[in-house]
Amino acid sequence: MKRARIITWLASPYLSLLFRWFLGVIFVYAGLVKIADPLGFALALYNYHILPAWMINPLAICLPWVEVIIGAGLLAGIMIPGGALVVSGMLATFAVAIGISLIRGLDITCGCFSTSAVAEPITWLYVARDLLLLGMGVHILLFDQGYASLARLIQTRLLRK
Amino acid sequence: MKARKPRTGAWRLSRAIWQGIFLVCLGALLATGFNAVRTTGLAWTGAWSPASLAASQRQGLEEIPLQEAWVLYEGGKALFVDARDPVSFYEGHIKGALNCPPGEAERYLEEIRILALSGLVIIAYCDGVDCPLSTELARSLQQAGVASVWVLVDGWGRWRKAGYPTEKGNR
Repeated sequence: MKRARIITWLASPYLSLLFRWFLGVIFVYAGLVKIADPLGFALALYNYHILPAWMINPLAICLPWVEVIIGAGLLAGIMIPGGALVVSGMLATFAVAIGISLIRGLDITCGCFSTSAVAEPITWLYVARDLLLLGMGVHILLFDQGYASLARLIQTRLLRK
Repeated sequence: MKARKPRTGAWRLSRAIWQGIFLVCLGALLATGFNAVRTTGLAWTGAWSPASLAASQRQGLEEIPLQEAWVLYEGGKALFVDARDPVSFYEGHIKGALNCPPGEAERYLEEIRILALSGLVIIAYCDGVDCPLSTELARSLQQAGVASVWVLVDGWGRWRKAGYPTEKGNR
């Protein structure tokens, strides 16, 4: 009985809504920080030594905007499944990239929430943080019911008239 | 009223994928537009070789030619700060230099600030043209309000080659 209650609670769409808002704020913030300093972000990407040189600038230009758009979408509740899917994909990629860099022994900054070259270097805690956020993304993908979403508001209020 | 088709897992996944593609494209489109109009926009293709990277990192910092650094050294008007790690510093450095890796800039900040105020020119150096340490250190010092910070590019290598005074050990 108790177990069933825990499962119900864990699969709750309200928990999903909470995660949606949390990831939304985080992604909008992370995107804006990078938009403010594209060169700093490009440098952070370069320092990972994973991407080919031709990909660094296009990614430094586009990725922050994708983060902001998806973060805003999650906050407002527009295209939630798509946003949750991309967020999960991005977080999985970030976790793998940081993990590879740690295994290779690189002493680099994350470039996640700051583009400063003298920010704190990456640790396994960063991988754990990304995996935790990834869990939230997957939760949204699986259990979100579109509560407090603009899409549902439009569907229920405007289209019925 | 029309009966709704049951929404399967495959339908949901396909919707999520299409929405995801749309959101990524929208983000890329906005990014392209904003990058084109902003004054600090990035070029789509960047020269990401270590040497050109080091040159771009030095933007806004003053480089000092080796000859000028030597003249200041001879006149006792410069403080050389070695941005390399302590082991490399121990193995050899510019005579009279202070070892100050970028991460430890705060520890030596007060000492460097006082010496700069007393009229010494601060010259940061490390080893190799693509070494980012001296640039990082110079920027940290500059941001902390230390005036007259210069970077001697490939300082250790060129200083040694020129046969100028060096020493070993800690300081």
